[in-house]
Amino acid sequence: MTNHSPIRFALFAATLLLAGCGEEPAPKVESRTIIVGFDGMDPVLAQKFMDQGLLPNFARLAREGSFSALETSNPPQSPVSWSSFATGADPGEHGIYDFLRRHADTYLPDFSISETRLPEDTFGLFGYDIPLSDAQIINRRQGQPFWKTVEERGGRSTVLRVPVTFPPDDIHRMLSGMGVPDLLGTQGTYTIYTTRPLGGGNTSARVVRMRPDREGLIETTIEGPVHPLKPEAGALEMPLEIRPAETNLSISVDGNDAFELAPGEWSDWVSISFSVLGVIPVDGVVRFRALEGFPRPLLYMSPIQIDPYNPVVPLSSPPDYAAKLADRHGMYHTIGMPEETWSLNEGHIPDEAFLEMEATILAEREAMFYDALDRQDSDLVIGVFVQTDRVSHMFYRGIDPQHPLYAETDETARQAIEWVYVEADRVLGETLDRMGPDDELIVISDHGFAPFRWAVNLNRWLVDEGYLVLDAGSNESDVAFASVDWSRSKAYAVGLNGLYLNRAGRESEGIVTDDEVAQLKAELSEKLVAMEHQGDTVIRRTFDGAEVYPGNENGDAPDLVIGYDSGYRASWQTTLGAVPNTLVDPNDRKWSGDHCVDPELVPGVLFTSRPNTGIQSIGDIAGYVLK
Amino acid sequence: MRDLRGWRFNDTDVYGTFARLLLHLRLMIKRVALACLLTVSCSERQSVDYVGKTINNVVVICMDTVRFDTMDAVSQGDTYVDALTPLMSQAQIFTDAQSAAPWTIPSVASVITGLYPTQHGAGEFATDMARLDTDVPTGLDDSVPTLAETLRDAGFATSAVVAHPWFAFNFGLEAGFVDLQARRGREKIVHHSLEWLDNGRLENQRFFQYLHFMEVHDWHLKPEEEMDTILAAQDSELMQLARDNAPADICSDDPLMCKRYQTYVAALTAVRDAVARYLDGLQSRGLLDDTVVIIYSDHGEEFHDHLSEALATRDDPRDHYGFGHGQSLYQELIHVPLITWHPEFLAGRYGQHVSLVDIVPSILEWTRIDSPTRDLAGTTLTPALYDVPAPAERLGPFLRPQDGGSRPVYSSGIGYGPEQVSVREGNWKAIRHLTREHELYFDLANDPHEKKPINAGNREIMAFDRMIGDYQDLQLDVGGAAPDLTAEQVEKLKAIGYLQGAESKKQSEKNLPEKNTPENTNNDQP
Repeated sequence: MTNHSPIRFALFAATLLLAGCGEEPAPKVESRTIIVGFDGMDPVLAQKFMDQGLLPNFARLAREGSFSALETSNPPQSPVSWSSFATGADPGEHGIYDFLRRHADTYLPDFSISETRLPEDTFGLFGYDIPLSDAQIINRRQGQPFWKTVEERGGRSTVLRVPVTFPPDDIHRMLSGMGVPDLLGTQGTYTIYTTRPLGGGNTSARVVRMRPDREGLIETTIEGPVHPLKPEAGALEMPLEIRPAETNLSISVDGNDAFELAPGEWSDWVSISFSVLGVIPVDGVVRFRALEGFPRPLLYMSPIQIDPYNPVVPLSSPPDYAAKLADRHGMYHTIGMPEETWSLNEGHIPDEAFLEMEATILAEREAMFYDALDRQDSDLVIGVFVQTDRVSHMFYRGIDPQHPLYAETDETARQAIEWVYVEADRVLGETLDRMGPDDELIVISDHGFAPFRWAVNLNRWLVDEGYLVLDAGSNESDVAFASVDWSRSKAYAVGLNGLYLNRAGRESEGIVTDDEVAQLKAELSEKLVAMEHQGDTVIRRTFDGAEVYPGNENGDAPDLVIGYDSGYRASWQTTLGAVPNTLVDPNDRKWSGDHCVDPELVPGVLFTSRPNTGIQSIGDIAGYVLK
Repeated sequence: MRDLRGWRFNDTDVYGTFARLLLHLRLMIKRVALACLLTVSCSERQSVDYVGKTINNVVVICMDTVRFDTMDAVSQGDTYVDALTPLMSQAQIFTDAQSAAPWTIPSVASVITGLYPTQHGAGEFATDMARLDTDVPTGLDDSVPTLAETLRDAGFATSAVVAHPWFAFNFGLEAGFVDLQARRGREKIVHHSLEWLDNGRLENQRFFQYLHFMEVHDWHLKPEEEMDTILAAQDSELMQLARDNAPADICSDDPLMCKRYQTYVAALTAVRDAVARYLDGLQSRGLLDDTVVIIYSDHGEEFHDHLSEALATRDDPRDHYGFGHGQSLYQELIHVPLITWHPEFLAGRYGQHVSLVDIVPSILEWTRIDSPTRDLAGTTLTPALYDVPAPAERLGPFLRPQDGGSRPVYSSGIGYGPEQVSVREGNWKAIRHLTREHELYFDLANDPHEKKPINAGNREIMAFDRMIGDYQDLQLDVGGAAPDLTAEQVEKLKAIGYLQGAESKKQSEKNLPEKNTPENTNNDQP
């Protein structure tokens, strides 16, 4: 639990800067445990590329140490698996069961990893709500991560960008990973500035329509967070001016000097400072990409990243570490999931833009990681690179001839996964070069990969089978179960692998009594694994939550975990509790590979510098390091 | 973390600064708000007010399916307007009026609400591809006030005597008419309208009467032998005039299509004569001087004007091309007659670019009835009648006042095919095909028949993008629904060519659909 207040942080940061305090150089550590995570690295693909001679460093590590598949978590999702990595515990103990959970009182889906508890008491003053206590940001993962145990035993830990580490743990050095929000408090809201309404219907992007005047001058705004003291006043805003410079866009933020951006070009980092009543700065940084030039300018603005120099929420431990990294290596992406998978998936940015951004983020992470290795001041150094996962998600269509988009992928898209594995090999090489003779290296991934050709509307199946009942007159339902009659519903699906029973005494409108539970689960499981689509099995196995999640401390555990067969995955609509008309849709999106299937199908990788570690699953690593 | 509301401000000095700032800000906000209010009320006033006497009664007459150019052509010599009644030589003829849609439901809904199709929501289809021949479109939602409702609520007696079946089938066009009579044939319409004026209202009660004639919609779709009968009875000079003014080259290339056009002209004169009899009836009852009469058409009709373009795009789900209405936003479908008559206004031809959405704000101004909606799309016709240019704030982004700038006027609401939007500003017109993300630009001054699309420059592209974006942003979520039609109603719509059903036979472009209309088009023969 961490309390935060922008003023306090601003003052704290200012004090540190004024004092000009340097760090005490820590004593050199000769025998380190170094863990490198390549999120989503698949053992079959790794073996294939090693066989082709593309991954010389991995091949060497496999030869001199060990290489094997690594058992992943159930379900095989990054937040679940990395939480097992951190704590050495199963989901039943660490409490992260899926990217998404649901509120049993409202059935509303929510983000699993962290939550903000707002202060309960405020008092009104001149129309503003002045909070009487701090908000609290909570990492919902239970249990102690092993890097803290290392420190309790007198060691020092450096942990960089491991998923589900927000807010940061109070250790020697940490930069938080997945879970860090953008300045709006979301997991990544990007903006498209356009002169024409965008086709394609609903989009998760913020779309701002620009109205050029006769000379092409566009005066619009960047929308920031909601006014912290007066939510009903709407969002804080900042002027954004765009004018033509031939086809280039000349962009000026907040009246500052304009910079030019050619179509197809990323901007440098642009600082934006929203001001609350002129005295409280709320700072962020963004990058722009000009997608099209004049006369139809189309501008992409990244999610507003929290500025590491003046973070509104803590990003690092110690708190000024985030700023020092920016000092040493330049500005960087701070949001937990900076890869703009969704903008690529919605067709708002092209493949090249995405791959250029991956390269940029990889370079940022590399610089930080090598810096941490070069300091030689930690007993445990962990760095996670997620680019392998993101590129695999978005470009599996380039290696899967059965994917609906395979035919239209170009050479760049077909080479993308290979490219990122080769990049990972290069990072591994740099890491090996920085190791001393007594250092130990463990390279892991949290899960592997499978094709994602078909999207399964699991809630549709529940409706068709009579377990989920829609309001009279409704044939489908929008997200968040907008048209569901709970008084007659026995089961519902939320998240990527979760299925819940509507249980009396647990759900607010639950009807399934305790003595019906076992029978209902068995009945559902039997029917689910029998589901067929074009002659193929859709669901390979189901798992009883009560068996696989003993403990279930926080009540988030699903009653059944759905182990999809290869090629299938829950539809995006299912994850958010929608009920479309169709049961199985072809996945015609660029998000074409996934791993939210039966965990047996998608193990991770384990490379070790020392043979015979005895590590079988991702949950074994904490114990191995602490042994 | 959902937002950043949880911040605490516990530093005393900062807090004190805050309190002062807040107080200051509050006062500033009040001043600004007051200034805004004044500005808004000023800018909402028309630059030219109607200063004449309050007009008591309102008559709106729709001659379905009349193209402006056809009406204008057959008015040569013995002018069409003069023939309406001698009094109507004092009418005001708008020579550049545009309907808001190319077929009846969205267009009439715009006339009676003062809103564009994207705002009133009537005439939309469940899928992106409009298929008026098979799908039931949305009606006008109850929440959108109509002129008849507003006037009824202001104490007017309201009457509609209409030949169009849409009025009878719960599409919302009928809302507000206390007396609604579906009558087939122009003579019945005239007779029952005048009868209602005599018996249907309280003595001296202000009234609003709406008439809707269908002959021009129907006659040229009849079987050839029936058209021959009609044409045999026509004045030969008029028929020659029709041949000389026929669109495209139909009278040299396509005898059947030429015959259809001549029949169309014959229907137009038949309706004209019926309207004249109705106006005579108003005059003989002493009502005309206290009544504003508005005559309009809801859309035009294509006679192969853009046949080659239609064949090139293959957008028409009926699989017949270049004929009928609902399929495009070219001028032959949206350039329509608009005639007003009242002794207060000067007779003449008015060339300002106006829209049928202007009818509601004009009537409300002339009858001095408050509008129930602040957001009418239209603007009163009064400035046009006084020949005053549009106020600067209504001008589009493209043309400045010194360029002869005018306000943007829009049309949308395709009935067959993917949705399009058109916008006119000055002599420029753009038609955007929304699904193809493709647009055509025309200079109507030099190319009135829209045969030569021009390459727009950056400035024009930006200006039209902005105007079309503004139009799309007007979209309101009024939630109009397609009414449930009875089997009988469906049959009636099928009878006049709507809702043909999935079995609808495909027609080649030359072989036009046989719209056998035994039951409903037996309007009184000429």
